Amino acid sequence: MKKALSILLFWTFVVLCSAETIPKFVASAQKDKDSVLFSAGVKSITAPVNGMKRGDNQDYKSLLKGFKADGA
Amino acid sequence: MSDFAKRIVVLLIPATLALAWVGGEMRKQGEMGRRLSHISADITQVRQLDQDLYQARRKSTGDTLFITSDSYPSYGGPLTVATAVDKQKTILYTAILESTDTRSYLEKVVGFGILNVYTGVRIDQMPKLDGISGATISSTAITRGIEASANKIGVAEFGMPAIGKEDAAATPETAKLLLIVFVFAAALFLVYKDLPRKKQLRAGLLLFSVVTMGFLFGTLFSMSTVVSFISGTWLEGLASYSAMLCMVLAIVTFLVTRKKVYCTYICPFGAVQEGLGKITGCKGPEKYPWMEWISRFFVWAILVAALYFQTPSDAMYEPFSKAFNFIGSGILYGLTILIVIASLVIKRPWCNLFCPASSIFFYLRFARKAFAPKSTADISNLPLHAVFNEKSKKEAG
Repeated sequence: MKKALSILLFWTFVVLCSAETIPKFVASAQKDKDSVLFSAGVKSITAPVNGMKRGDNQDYKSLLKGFKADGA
Repeated sequence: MSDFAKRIVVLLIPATLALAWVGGEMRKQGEMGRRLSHISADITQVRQLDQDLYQARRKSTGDTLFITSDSYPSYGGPLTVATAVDKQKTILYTAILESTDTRSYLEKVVGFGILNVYTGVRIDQMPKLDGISGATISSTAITRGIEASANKIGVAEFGMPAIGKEDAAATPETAKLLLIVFVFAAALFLVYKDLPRKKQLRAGLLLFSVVTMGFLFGTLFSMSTVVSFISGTWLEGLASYSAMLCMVLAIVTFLVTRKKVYCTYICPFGAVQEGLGKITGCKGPEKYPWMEWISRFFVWAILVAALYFQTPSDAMYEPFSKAFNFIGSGILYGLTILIVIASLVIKRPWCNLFCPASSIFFYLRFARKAFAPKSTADISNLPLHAVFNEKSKKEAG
């Protein structure tokens, strides 16, 4: 029983850790080396290029509520 | 396996890692101007004005933009941001160009809208922000980078006064470093001294480590730390050296004592598993050599990939961030829950079956034995202080 559990647990670790890391490396391999990681722009600006991520455009004053802001 | 074959294997491993790193260095050569044009499809005709200053044009309106970048030390190495400003001193775009930080931390910070806070704001009316709790180091590097890059444009194009770079650590670095040194010193004291209540003292140290190094400061070292160390990104500056110090001390104490002092006396994640195991009084798992070899191969493969792609954070598959900071992917969340449950049935399941630290310590032991002179083979398993005692006795005799 313990033997089977140890083997099962081991392979679950292998699968989960592979699932955690391999897609990240695949994404790195597929990523254009000139692309940027994240970007944001003022409203009305066209979409970013190269499939990068962009933060949602929101009113910045409402966003400041999430921070310890000083002088905003 | 012969001694010669062992030595070849020992040397081949760092050689493959070095090759991966060289390949990664050759791969990452990119051109900044082209990268800046990728901040938005609206940016075109990027040309360099000065060392870090670029001029571009908006496709939609034809207006001129000034773009610059700046880097600040973050958790895994330098984090580079870019800011685009128009002639009315308004920030139109902000972007993170490069980072070696854990993706989930960055996503959390960007998800909070940290990049949007600055867009539409004039550079002479910049909001002053502190870090986001839970991702303080990454968010501080971003805000400081944007503030510095916006100021760079202000100075160069609008005659604004230069603002000095903010260099103060985002988190209590000195306290963290002192804590780590103290914990390792206490662990060594327990290793070397025959104390009457050693078990209780060890349990106390582990508990202290869980609270401070785990939940309070999150200073555990991971595969990401190992990759940062090998690739040398730490030479360009880190916002926090605590994980690096922890790793270096774990290796030094292993080499000196020939015991896994970190795993046995300090590791907060190991302590949590052990604590859960105490509830049921369970024993360790059934281990087979093939498990250990698969685990070692996995560590090697991840190191090679992370060094090649120059992404230390991608190498991290330990669930530490999820367990202590509640940040990480769904897979890490599942892994953490699995380990917690399994700890009630099997003693320290992660440590015994798949923790990469075990593979790293195995390599160090293997390397030491492969290169140990034959005459000292009988003492190669003794702790260093015991070896010195043996030599002193012989000399005295």
